[in-house]
Amino acid sequence: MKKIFSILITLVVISGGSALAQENIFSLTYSMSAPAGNTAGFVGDASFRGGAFDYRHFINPKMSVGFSVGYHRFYQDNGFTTQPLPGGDGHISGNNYRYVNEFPLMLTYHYYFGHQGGVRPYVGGGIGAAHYEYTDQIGSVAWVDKQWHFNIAPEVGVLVPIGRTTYFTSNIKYNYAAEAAGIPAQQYWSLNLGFAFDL
Amino acid sequence: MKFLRLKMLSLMSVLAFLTACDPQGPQSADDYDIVITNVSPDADFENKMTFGMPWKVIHVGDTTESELTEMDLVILNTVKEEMLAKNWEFIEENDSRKPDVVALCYSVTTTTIYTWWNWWGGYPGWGWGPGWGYPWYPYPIQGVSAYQKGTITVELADNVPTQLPATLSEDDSVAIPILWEGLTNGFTTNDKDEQRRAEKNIRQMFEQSPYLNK
Repeated sequence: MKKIFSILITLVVISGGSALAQENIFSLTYSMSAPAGNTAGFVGDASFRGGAFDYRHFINPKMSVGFSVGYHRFYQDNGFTTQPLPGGDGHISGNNYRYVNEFPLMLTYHYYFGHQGGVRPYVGGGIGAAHYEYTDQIGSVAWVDKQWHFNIAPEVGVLVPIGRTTYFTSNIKYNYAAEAAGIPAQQYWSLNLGFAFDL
Repeated sequence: MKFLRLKMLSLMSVLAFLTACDPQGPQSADDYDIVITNVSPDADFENKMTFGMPWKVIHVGDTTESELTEMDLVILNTVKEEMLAKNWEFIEENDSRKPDVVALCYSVTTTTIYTWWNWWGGYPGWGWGPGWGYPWYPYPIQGVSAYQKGTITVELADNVPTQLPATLSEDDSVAIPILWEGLTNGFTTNDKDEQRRAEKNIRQMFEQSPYLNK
């Protein structure tokens, strides 16, 4: 009986201590992205310019809610091109550059496996909006379109403790921005690597 | 512990800095060049075989220029070479025959031009005398809007008389027999490198207009 009581006390102390240790975290991640679907049709090259800031509040040891903001820049140099003039009887030539600048703003939810203090795989996602800026440039002329899209981003990832309050974090996200104002749905995959810190 | 956080944040900063150093977009003046061509939907080049060319570049916005500059010569020579390369026959000004089209070259030397009526001045004596005739003088450039300084324009005009009303306002509509035009911009100093770019871009005007081939 005394032994069982000791084990129970130990479990309560451990779980209570852990919950206190991981209540709020924030993370900074570097993002590499691969465009898909319509986004790949506009800019096909992978992006190595991006990042995200996440804040997560643990509502219990296995779940967190929070928000995520980020930035991704897709770019492609198509070289010298000749294209028909939009709505005209002519052509335009020059070096063609295409850019997509994307800023997602999402509320997030995550569910964690494993135990606090250890390696914690998680699944979750975000829902919110994403601002897309599309630029199609030929020489000194550019066509620019800007649009807010409804955005969802399911993800899987992991938090790996590397210090008492510091973690290595990595996740893979599928980002889907719904069609808006005649601009078709946009998609890309992103691999995010970075660090998270207890607040 | 704070030291570890600092190290991690520093690592992220270095990574962000390195990725930002990767150059994107135009890197040189050539990369900003554009070549635009427009063709009249009514243009019929099948029955046009010959061209004439006033040996002068009109400097729109700067009419004090009277002598041909090096850039002017590059423009004129390149346009003439390209027309000949497309098997058009060149008609000299003192020839008794009349060319089917007239190649006109302009260089915009003001910073910004909105809608305006300009007269095809600077060619006194054109069309008069025993030789062939250019379109009726004066000849208007109509409503070119917001062309930046440094734009070179080449036009092929149908060589038909154009009668204009005695007085004109911006609201008047006058049919100008321009069959084809080519535009390129980014020429402000007219140095050797800009002359090279101008030649390259004028050749591109003809390259992207295969319907001008004879």
